[in-house]
Amino acid sequence: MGLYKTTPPLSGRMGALWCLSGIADSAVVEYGCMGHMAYGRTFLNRMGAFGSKLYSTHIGETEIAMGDTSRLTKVIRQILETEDVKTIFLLPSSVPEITGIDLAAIAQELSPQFPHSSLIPLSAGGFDICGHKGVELTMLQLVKTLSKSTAPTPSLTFNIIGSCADLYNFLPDAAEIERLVSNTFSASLLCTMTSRTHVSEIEAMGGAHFNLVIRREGEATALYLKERFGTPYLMARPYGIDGTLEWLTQLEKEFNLSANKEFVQQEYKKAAEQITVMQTMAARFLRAHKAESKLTLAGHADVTSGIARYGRSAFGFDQTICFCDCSCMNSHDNPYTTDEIKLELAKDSKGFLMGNDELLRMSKRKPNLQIASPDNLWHHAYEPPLVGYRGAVHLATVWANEIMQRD
Amino acid sequence: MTGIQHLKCLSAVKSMKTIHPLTPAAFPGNHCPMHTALSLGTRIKGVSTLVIGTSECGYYSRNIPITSPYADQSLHWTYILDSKEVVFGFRDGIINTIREMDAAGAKIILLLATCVPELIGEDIDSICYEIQPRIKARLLHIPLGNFKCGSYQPGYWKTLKKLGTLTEKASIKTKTVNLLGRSILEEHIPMPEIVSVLKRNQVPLRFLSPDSSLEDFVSAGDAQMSISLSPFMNPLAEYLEKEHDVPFISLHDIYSVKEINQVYTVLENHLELKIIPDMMDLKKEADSLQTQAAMQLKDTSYIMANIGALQPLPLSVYFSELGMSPIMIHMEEYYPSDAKWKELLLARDKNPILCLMFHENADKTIIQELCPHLVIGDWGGRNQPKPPTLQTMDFYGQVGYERTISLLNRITTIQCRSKEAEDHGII
Repeated sequence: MGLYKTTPPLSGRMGALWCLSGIADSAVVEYGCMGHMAYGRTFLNRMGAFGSKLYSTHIGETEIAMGDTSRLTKVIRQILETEDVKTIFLLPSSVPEITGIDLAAIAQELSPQFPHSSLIPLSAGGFDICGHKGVELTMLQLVKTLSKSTAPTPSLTFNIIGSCADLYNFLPDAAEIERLVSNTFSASLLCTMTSRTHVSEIEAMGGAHFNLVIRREGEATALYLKERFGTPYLMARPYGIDGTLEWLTQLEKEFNLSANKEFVQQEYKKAAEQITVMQTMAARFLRAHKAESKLTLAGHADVTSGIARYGRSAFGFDQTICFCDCSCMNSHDNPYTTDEIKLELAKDSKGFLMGNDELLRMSKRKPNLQIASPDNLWHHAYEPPLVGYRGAVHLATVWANEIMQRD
Repeated sequence: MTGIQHLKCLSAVKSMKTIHPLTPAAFPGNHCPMHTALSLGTRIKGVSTLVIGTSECGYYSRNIPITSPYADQSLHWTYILDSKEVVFGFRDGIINTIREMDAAGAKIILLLATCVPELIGEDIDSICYEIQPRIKARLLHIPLGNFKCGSYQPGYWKTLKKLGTLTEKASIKTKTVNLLGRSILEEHIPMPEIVSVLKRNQVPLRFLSPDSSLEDFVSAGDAQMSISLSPFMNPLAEYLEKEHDVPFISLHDIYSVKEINQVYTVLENHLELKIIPDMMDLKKEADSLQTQAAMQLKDTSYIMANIGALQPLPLSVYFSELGMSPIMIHMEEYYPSDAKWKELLLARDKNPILCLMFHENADKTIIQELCPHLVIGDWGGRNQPKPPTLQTMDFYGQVGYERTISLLNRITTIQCRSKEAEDHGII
C-alpha cells in the first residue's frame, strides 16, 4: 500500500460488501465504526445496488478496550425481530480486525440464540486482501455456504456469475446477457450472482445446466459448482457484434445447446445496420487523424481487453492500450494503472480514453466514456449495456459522438 | 416497546461516552469525522490534505477532493496502511510521503488520522515535531478516530481549531470582524440580518468557513472581534480569544429576545455603532410572538431529533423558557459549552433522556410510543400528522431575531393545526 495521489484500490472487506449488496432478503452487519457503512451504502445506492440491508453496530473505545461484542448481539436481535430476514452476513471491519475479534467464533457462539437464522461470518478481512480477491472469496463462500444439493432443473436454466456492484454497469450488462441467452437458447436465469438476486436463488444455483462466468473472480465459484454439481461453465464477456456472435456460438457448442438462429441473425443484422454508418465515419476520421487512432482503456482487466478487441476489429483503431485496475491482475498486455500512469493518461489529449469517473475528470473527458469504477454519479439498471449486441451499438455511438466533437 | 433503560438522562451525562444509540443498529449511521474534516480541508484555498487510514477511508472519501472547486490548487492524497504497517507502524512511509508533498509544493498539510492509525497509537505528533524543521510545509495533525465520538461533528471543530494555530500574532488590531460559520459564496441561503447591518455600517468582515483562504485564517488574529454563527466554530473562536485576545460572541446558541438584545448591546458597545435601532421592527415582532408562544406552548412536550447545524441544549433551554418540556434529545456532540446549558436546563427541572438516533425506522417506533406533542428536527415520521414535525434543517447559518420569529411562527402554526385536527377528529 502506501501513498496514493488518486483513488486507492478497494480492500477485500469492501469487495465483500459490494458483492453482498445485491442479495435481497439478507442483511449485512459490519461490526465496526459506522463511518464505513455510511459511505458504503451511499456508494452502493449510487451504483444501483439495492439488495441487502446494510447495518453497522458502531463501536466505542470501551468496547475496543474490553473486547465487548454485545452490540453485535443486540443488532442481530433487532434485525431478526424487525426485518423479514433470515440470513445475516457478518462483515469484517478494520478496527476489530486489529483487535483480533473472531467473527467466526462469535457467529458460532450466537447461533443457538438464533436457531432459525443463518449467521455467516465473511472471510475477506485482513489488510493485504485486494477488492477483487474479496469479491472472489465472497462469491465462493456464498456458494459453499448457501447452495443446496439439488438435481438439474427440468427445463434449461443457467446462472450468471460475477455481476457485482464493483463492476461498472453491472446491472445493464447482466440484463443484456440474460436477454441474449434466454432468447437464443430458450433458457431461464436461475441466479445472477450477485446482483438483483435473493438468498433462495443462490441456494438453487446447483440446479442450473450451465454457468456463465463474466469475470475472472467468478472462476473459483464456477469450478466449485462444476465439482459439486457437474455444471459446465464458460468464462467470457461478449463485446462487439462479431464477438457476441462468437460467444453465442461458443455457448452452443460447449454446452451442446440448440440456438434460435433467427433471433441471433436478426439481432446481428439490427446491430450491424445501426453501426455501419458510424464505422464508415470512424474509418474516415481515423485515417485522416492518425494521432487520434488510439483507444486507451483503463478498468477491469476482462472489460478493457474485450472492448479493445471490438475497437480494433470493428472500428480500426490503430492502437489499443489496456490498463487494469487491480495489481493482482497486472500483466504485460494489461498493466496495472498506477498513479503515475493515470497522471500520464490525463495529460494526453490525443486519442480516445475510456476509464473511471476520476480519470475522465482528470483528463477533462466526458462522463459517457466511463467503463470502470469508482464512480461519483448516480446510475440505474436501465442504462445501455456495454456487452452484447446492444452494448456494441452503445459503444459505437459513444465513439462516433466523440469523433463528432473532434472532427 | 424496545427498552430505553440503557439510556442516560441529561443529569448523568458529562461527555459523549455516556450518550448511547436509541436502538442498537445503525442504518447505516452517520459519517465519520474524517469525512467532515476532509470536506472542510478541501474547500479552504491553499490547504492540502493527507488521509491516513485504510482503503475504505481513502476510496470512499475520494469524491470530496474530486468535486471541490479548489481541488487543483493543492494536494489531496491518501496514505493506505498495509498489514505490516498496522503491526509495526508507518513512520517511515508517512515521513517519505510528507517529504514528497512538501517537494510538490504543499503549503499546509492536514494529516487526517482515521481509526486504524489512532488505534495502533502511532505518534504522529512526534513525527510532525521531528520532520517539521526540515520541510517548508506546515504540518497539522488532526486525530479523527470514529470510535472516539458519536458522529461527524468533531471533524469540523477539530479542523477549524487546528487551522486557528496558523493564526499569526497581530501587533495592531484592525476594525475587521471575524465572521465564523458562513461562507461569502452562500448566496442561496439568506445572510443573517446582523451581517447586513454590519455591512451597511462598513465594518470590514472576514468570513472564516469553507471557501475561505488560508490567508484568512493566518490573519484572523488582527480582528477586533469574532462572531460565531455555528457550534462547530466556537472552539476556534475560543482559541482566538485565548491566544490572540480576539473577544467573541456566540449568536447561534441564543434565541430569546432578551438574550439577543444583550448580545447585540455588547456588540454595539464593542464596535461603537448602533445595531438594535436598525432591527427594531424585527425585535418587536419577535417580542410579541414570544409572549404569545409562551401562552400557547406551555406544557408542550417534545422530542428533539436531527436538528442539523443547531446545538440541541441551548435550543432546549429556550423552549423551557416557553414552558415546553423535552422528553428525549438526539445529541451528536457534547461541546464544553454544553455544561452551562445542562445546568440551566436542570435548574428548570428539565432532565431529558439523551441518545443517538441512527436508524430512522426503528427510532420512529420508539418516538411514537413516547407520545410527544411535537418532534423537533428531521426523523422517520416527518410526513406524519401525529406527532407533528418542526423542521429546522434550514436554520443553518441563521441567527438573531429573524430566526426566533421563524421558529416561533412555525411552532405555533404547527401546534394550532395539530390542535384543530385533533378537535375535528382527523388525528
